[in-house]
Amino acid sequence: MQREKSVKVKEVITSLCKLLSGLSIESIPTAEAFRRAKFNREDAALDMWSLLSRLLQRAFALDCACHCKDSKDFDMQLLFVRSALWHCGYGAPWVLGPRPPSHIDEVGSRDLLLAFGWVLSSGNLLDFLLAEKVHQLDVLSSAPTIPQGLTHGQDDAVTCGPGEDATVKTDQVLQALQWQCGKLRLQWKSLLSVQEEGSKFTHRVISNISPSAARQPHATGSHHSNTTSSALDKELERIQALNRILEAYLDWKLHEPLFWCWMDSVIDSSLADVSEVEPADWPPGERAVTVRCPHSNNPRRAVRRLDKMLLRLQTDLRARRIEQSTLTLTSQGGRQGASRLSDRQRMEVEKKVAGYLEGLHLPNTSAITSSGFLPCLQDQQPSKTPHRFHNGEPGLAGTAGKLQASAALGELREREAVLQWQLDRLRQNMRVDLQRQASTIDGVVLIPPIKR
Amino acid sequence: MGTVSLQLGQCGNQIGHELFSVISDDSNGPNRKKYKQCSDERFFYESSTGELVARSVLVDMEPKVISQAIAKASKSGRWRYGDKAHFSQKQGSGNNWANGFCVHGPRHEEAVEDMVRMEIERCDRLAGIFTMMSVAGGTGSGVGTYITQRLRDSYPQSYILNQITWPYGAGEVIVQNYNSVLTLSHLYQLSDAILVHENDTVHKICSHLMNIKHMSISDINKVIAHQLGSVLQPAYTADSPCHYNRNPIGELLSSLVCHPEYKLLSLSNIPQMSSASLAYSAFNWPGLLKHLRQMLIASARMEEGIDWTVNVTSGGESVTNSRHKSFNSSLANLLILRGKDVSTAVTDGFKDPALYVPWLKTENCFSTWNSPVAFNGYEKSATLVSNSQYLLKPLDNIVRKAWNMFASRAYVHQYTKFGISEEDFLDSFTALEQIISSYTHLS
Repeated sequence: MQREKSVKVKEVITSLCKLLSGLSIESIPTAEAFRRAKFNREDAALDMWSLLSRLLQRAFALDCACHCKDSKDFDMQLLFVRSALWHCGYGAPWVLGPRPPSHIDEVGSRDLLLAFGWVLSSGNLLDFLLAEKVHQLDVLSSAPTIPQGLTHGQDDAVTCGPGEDATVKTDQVLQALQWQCGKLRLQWKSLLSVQEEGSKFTHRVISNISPSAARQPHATGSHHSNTTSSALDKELERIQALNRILEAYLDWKLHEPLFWCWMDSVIDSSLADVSEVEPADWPPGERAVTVRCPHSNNPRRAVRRLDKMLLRLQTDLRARRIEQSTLTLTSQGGRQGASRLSDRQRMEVEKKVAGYLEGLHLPNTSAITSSGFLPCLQDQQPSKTPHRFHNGEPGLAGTAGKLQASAALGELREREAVLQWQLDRLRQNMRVDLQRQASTIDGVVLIPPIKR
Repeated sequence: MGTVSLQLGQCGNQIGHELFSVISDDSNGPNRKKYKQCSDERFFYESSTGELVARSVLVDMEPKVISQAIAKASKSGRWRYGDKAHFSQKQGSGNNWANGFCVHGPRHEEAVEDMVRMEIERCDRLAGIFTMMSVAGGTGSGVGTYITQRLRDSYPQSYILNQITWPYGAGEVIVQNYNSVLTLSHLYQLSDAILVHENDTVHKICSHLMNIKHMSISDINKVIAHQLGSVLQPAYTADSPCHYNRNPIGELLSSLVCHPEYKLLSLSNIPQMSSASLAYSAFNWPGLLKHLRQMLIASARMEEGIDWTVNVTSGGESVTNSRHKSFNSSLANLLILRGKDVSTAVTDGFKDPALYVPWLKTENCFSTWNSPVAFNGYEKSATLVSNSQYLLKPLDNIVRKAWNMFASRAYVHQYTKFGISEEDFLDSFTALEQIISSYTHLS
């Protein structure tokens, strides 16, 4: 099981690497380097470093066009990476701390990996890079938009001074811009239809010249190169590259939740290390913004663990769904096996979750409840619990003080339904009340806001 | 390159048939080989037996009008409708928009969509989807709106131009204003532009200009088809000054409706008269254009009875000099000239910046198309497609009448029983109020 999981993680990271290289980010490390970075190995630091700095350079390429990309000056690189990370809101001590590292070697590979995770998760960098790349390969495939990377759109695009005159003027400028933008969009549609026509004609010409070439676009060899021009070859290459990138992106999207699970384990291992190291040399103000939280901070850890567990459950669920759908497709007999397997697996997961919940629940109960709005998991209903299990496993059901995942979920769902009902009723009452009040005022019509 | 048309409901099917007849007649006139070629490619395809078949899909919930249209088309001997391009049912929508939109539309979407897809796939290049429908009834407006929505989802990158016919102000159907409000507010979100014909205007043209004593629906539809044909037939444009333009709807839209808040287009056409008097009339370009310009600024529906006292004033003047009547301000205009000596026509009268909003340069808001081929029997003819305040008043009327009925909740239960809630009505009213306010602020 453990081995299978690690294989999967490797697969996930490989799919990420594939996508990144498809997006033409240079110097992608191997999946092995990621694994080493998790354990803070020194030999992975350089790989992670070059990945992070290249990625940030791409992300901020729009903002600092003057930046020298092939800069071998590591001090400059360090400065750039630190300020870029600061710009994305990443507050690790080596970025924000009062004593910045003077050399790259001082930054551990795990710190770099964590920073990489942060950059990946803030904004939608990958989506943006993908859109940019697709736009490069296929100018007409997307509507004209304003490029937007990690930095979000600035409001001061149209500067306006004080006074009414200025607002009128900006309004007009805005209207004119909207008109021009609409015109561009319409012209883009025209170009798209021209392109479509072009491809239809190309297809017709090729299928007239040699019917087999049109039917088999992947045909290679002398026959193929004889009948098609070099321009067509280029076109084909372009389309294939585009397809490869889009496929890599889809593959990554499928595996993405697992990657974040793995990143969580990276954070865990980093937390475990911190508890051994004395964190006294940071001023208290800095500590608040770091990812590392002090060991004694129980509620926060509890919430983190809950989050993590939720993510894991969701990932499992999704994987199971995919697994099941593929199995259904393969064969009827396989399906039965799958359901039996998944039953066993579900029990396993439930057991595991129960273990987690218990570990979380018992020592931390007071800490969690005292902070108010955190979820409080109650276990004082032994009379209710037994009949709620599908599978009467006596060992689990009978154990007092243990909380089952299925029971907890059912409980929460029930509570949600009750709250929802209460909310609906309150809303209804409010509406009736409002209407009653409104009807007493003459000449007032209440128009609800537009839905969309 | 082809334009796929959709004829929706009784009105849409009648107008559609007239439109194809006008186009076919016009293209078969003398000395117009390239013109005919371009027009044929645009509206028809050639069947395996060499017949011209209209690129059109006919949809109605009743069979009568469709079978009439198909029969008349094949009797013409020049063109016909496609064998599998019509869809009809036994039971109409009962003039209820909600019935069309919530019941008939979803029930038959697949069949209709398949037909449209067939027609679209037949085009090497889809120049746009052109739908024709009325807003008063149930099928055209309700099913039409639903189908437009489906088409927008399936073809997000294609042009969709909706032609709609507004009902008589006096009223054909008691709930026509409800239907209009619901149709307009929905189409405004979906369509690239909405080309509006008012029955009242067309009726007046028939009685005053064409001198028709016993008017039939067909006469009215002929006028609408004439106006539409004068826009959609081949012409030389700024983008293609030497060849007939291959992207008519695209160019129409990008010269008139680039701004998402302003999508209502009106059409006026000059001259229009009975064929009997046409033989004894002579026209010159300066006279025609002078009249057309005054029709634009005075917001006149037809050539007769134009108010010549309306003058264009620039913004500063009108404040100090309140004697001037307010004129119809435009966002953008497209002038289409067809006939003899088009190259001599001077269009400077339409380039006055005072006609337009201050935030657009005149070269952005005025464009001209022309063609030396005389259109539909008129030696010279000029058509103005205008994105202006022209439709503000009739739109305001419709919304006001509908609101008055809605305020007392009259007939609303007929809609709620099919799933259109009062909130949907309110949303529609709000959307139309927004449009009215946008157009009001043009001047």
